[in-house]
Amino acid sequence: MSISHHPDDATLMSFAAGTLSEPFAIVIASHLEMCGHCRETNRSLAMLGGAVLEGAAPEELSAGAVASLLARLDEPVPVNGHRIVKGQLPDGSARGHAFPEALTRLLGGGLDAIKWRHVVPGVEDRLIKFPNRRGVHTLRFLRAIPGKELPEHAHSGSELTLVLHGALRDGGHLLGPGDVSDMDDEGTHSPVVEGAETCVCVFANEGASRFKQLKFRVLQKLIGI
Amino acid sequence: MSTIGKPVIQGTDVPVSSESAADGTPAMSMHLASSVQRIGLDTKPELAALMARVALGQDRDAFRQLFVTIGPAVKGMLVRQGADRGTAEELVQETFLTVWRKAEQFSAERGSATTWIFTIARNLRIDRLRREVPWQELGEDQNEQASDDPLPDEQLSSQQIQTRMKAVLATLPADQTEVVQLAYLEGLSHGEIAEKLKVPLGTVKSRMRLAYQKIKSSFQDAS
Repeated sequence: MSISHHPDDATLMSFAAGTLSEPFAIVIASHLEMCGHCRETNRSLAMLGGAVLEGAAPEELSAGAVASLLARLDEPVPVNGHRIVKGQLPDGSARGHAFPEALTRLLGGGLDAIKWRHVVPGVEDRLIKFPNRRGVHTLRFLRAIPGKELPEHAHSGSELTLVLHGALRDGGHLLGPGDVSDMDDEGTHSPVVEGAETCVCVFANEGASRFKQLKFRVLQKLIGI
Repeated sequence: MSTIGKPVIQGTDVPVSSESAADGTPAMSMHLASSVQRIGLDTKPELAALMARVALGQDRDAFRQLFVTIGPAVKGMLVRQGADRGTAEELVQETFLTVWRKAEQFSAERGSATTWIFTIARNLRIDRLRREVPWQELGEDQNEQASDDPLPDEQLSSQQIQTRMKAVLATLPADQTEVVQLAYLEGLSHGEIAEKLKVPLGTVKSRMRLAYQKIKSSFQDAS
């Protein structure tokens, strides 16, 4: 089985242009690690960036720019202090993907580095907030047991979902590891965990998602999910 | 465009054909004419040769020429993205220091010099923006390393691809060039572009998709 659900080309273009907010960029970077098709698209879109740059209106460099740059060439190279831990999915994912490095860098480890929080029986999550100039965007990891319906929710902006393990049915689509669902704003949906395996997925969100069912709304209010 | 309750799926998400018609205002067309002319007149074939001398021989003179040739465009892009001149100057310096330090990672078979420089400048800008917020744990090396994937068409050199890319860019309809420029040069998100152009979000995305489809098909026709 290969990856069959990809991000919107417009989302990939924004990734190449560097205009996605951090949670969305992390999800796209993770998908690119898993998907050769989109890596090729991304490469073309980066080349588009090179072509656009060549046509950019130039801005004169300051008088001492050349000299000061050349003087810095022999400076020692700063050491990259990032700890890279190669994480693995539990019991090997269906398609043998390693846990994405983009997520490993964020978490400081693989899935076992996530501090899960109980939501309802069979469903756990972990929310990371990314304040930016456009408000607060979020990255939410979700882990749910087979057959579990994830809380139906409406979101006020775009939502990008990446399945990391197991399978998720969202609308008429079955998403497996590496698959992405790229939704416009104002969507309402309630994905269901399919198959016999626990599903782990990660959602990037613009703005808070709002659960529709009362019990989840009460929970949302109490624990701030 | 409504996608309520269903994910957008590449391949089945057919763009609206009416979007492909150029509907740029006269002012926009003039703006585009000048940028197209810049692209058309752009003769920087020496960039590839300069970059090769930097990558293979750590040639300082080639590096200086590379900086003088493309540095002003990098600064121009950063200024359009809202950096003040001091910050833009600093980021240009950092961009070229990175080019120098990582030059051995550059491979002409895998991408053009300007693509690589664009990517480095983009990542430094993102990194700078993220320093202002609590979360900034992404590695510095993300996406800077040349990809190991094969080029779409191994018969074409990266320089030929870049030349063709510029040619395709010059033939895009005005409304598509506009969203491409706003994203890549001004660093605006989908939502910010929609706001600026006073068009729905879906229109911005559909113009981007069409622009990419044109690029893709022009490379497919060529191979």
